[in-house]
Amino acid sequence: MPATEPGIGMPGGIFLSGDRVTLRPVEEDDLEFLRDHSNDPAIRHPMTFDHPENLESWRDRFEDMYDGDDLGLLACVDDAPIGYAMLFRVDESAGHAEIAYWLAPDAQGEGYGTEMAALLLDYAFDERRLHRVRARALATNTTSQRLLEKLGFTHEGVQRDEKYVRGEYVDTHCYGLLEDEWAGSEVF
Amino acid sequence: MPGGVFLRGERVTLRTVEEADIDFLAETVSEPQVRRPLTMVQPTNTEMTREHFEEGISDDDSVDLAVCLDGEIRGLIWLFDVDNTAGHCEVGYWLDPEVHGQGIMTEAARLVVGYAFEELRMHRVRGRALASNDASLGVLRNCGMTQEAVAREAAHVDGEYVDMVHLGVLREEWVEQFG
Repeated sequence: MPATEPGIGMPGGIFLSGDRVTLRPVEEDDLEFLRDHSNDPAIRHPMTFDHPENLESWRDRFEDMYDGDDLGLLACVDDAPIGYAMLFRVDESAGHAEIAYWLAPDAQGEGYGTEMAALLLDYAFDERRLHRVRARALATNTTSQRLLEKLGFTHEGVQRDEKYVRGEYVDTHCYGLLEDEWAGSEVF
Repeated sequence: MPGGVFLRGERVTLRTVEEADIDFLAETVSEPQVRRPLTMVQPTNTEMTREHFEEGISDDDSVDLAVCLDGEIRGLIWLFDVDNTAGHCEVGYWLDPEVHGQGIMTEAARLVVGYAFEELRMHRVRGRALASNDASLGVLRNCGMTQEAVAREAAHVDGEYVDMVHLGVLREEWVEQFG
């Protein structure tokens, strides 16, 4: 169970709630957590974040974070932040969006990722009336691929050499889940 | 010729898009035959086209070119989502329905994809087309692209969900076929 890090205050209100994980709106006090982890090679390589992002750039993003259709939510366990979940590229007329997420290294391997993604899928289908959600994973990220398959995503194809990570071109695996294929987070 | 020629083919010339093209662009993209395959669901007026001309077409993020036949603009082709780190971008285009079915867009797309590899140092070029759009799928395949993924029901056109086909061509595949 991750301890609350010093200097990080109580996170914001609960937006989505699962058995162990809650997804909460990002508050200003959370930005240091997001800055620290999104710059960490262990996270930014699989996420293909290839530029440094300082606190200032996180603050810029924070200022209008919930003005558009996109959504970033802080994942917490016992009030301590453990990761970040995103719903983005929302296309209201086609009825689809993409999800992505990362977990702090010390929170990995506990099934929190599945719970985070499942909460976000409930939200996407049940609250936002989306018809389809897509997700992508690097060919080298088998953990993420297994997670998506477990949630019921269909492997829809492979974009060859789509990313460039640590000196090598890497394939991207594309996944999609339709509204009538989503089992609901209670199943997980 | 109202713009500067940027790429020259046998029948097709690709030139810079100029202010004088705005009326043609606004009128043509509003036609259902053009906007539906592009999944453009909102009306586009001249004012919006002018904004797009000023902020999108005339900036450095994308490469936008007028597709001309006998000196007359008949369509638009563009490279977008240029990712210089990964070395890839996507190609998009539309053509006046009056000149469909003559291989014009295949010629234009080959010019632009070749430009992406030879001048922009891209490693890979992508394209997308509705599963129902055989003509556009043909253009992308004519550029040496391979089908890589089918995003099921990813578009909504004419009241129905339609699959979106993703295609891509790598530099070495391009060189082998067209280099």
